[in-house]
Amino acid sequence: MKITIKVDPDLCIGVASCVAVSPKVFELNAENKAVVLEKESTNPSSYDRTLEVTEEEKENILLAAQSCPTLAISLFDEEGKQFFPEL
Amino acid sequence: MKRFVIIGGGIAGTTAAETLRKLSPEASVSLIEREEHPLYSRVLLAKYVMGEISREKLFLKKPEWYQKNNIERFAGVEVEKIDRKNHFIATSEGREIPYDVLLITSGLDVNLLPFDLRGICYLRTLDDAEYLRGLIADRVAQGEKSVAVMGGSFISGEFLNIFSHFGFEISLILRSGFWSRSLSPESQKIIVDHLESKGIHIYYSKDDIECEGKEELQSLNFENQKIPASILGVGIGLHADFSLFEDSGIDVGKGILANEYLETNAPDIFAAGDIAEFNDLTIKRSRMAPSWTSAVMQARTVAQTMMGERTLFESVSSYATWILGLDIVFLGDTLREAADDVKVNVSSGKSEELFYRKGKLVGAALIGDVSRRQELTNEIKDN
Repeated sequence: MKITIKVDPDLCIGVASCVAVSPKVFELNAENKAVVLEKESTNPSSYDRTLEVTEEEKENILLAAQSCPTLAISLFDEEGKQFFPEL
Repeated sequence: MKRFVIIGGGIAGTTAAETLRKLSPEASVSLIEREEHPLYSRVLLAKYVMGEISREKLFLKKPEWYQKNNIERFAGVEVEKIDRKNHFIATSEGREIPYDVLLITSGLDVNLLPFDLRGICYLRTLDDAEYLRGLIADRVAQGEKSVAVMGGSFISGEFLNIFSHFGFEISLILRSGFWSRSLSPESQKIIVDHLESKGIHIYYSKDDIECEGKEELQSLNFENQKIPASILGVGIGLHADFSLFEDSGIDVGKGILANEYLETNAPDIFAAGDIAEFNDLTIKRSRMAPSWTSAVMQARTVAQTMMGERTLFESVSSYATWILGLDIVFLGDTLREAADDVKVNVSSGKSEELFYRKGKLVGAALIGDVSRRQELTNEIKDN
């Protein structure tokens, strides 16, 4: 399945809990903000990315988003519906 | 059905409750906490005081979340006794709550000044933030300009950001410096120079300060100096209140002592979050790592162990902050006295300090330029 991850750089304050929970998906850029890595790619990381994920990977990304103290990470399903944070 | 009881409902306790519920839909999970409010982000309190975010945005859980997830929450309640022999805890409400497995995530308390004047404030809880908002509004309305901050660490940095945002004239009183147990004098000077360039008046005092005023704070006295201050933001550290645990025969040091599985000396009792003094495998020594990320990671790990799947806790700790535009990051173990060698690289408003033990990188402090944070975290992890 596909999910879209959006990091709001204005909300991100570099706590890096997402990187600790999900280091294969998130990293910090030079501005100390979380960005989404593209799987098995050397492309530059981005604040906004759609990834093909397994159920287990989706669960881990959800845990990473839940761990953020500023709720800077939003997650969307294939239909573009936001499933975290719950609206 | 196993009965899990968690003392403390901050990010560690709530994350542990959430993880336990995910791992076992039928387990009994109870959360006992001093706070009345549902889980909120302490990290965002300063932004709330500054009016950058709404009160609603602070909350990470809605009030109905606990019931929806079948987590029994006792809010505004203190634990008064842990009866290990009979496996129950007694609360300030007079209840006895039985447990099979107990997790302690009760956190740390702020060090207080021995003065009771309106104007002295702390920044640990949402109630502290509400008090500070009211105070600032009053002082602005009264035309008061002078405020002060005491201490040289994260919370004092938060106070400096807040007071600067409101345009106050700020005095900062330091006992020794900024993060003096971690940073070299050169790196501390970068922070001090930065603050002075932003108009902060910095004073040093080895002595205790005297707060003066009639009901309302008016001035501070120290080392034969007197400075006006209608607000004093206090950030002079945290301590663990052990009375409950010592009486229960749970081993304590600076925190509650735990191994690399976050197990205490008492069977079926675990510790996580700010209060845990655990064997940190990433740096190979026992220590406390009070931070948001550590609390989340420890809670997730300990929940698995509590559920019977014994899991090692292994995560490089990190703290990041920002004081009046200056980025500061600490990674891993930056206690200077625990390092064999510290390499300091200072250049024009930036510094990088690398902490080594037995030839291996165990910690890093970055000031002004934090672009190597990820790389250094990986290096500490891989050592």
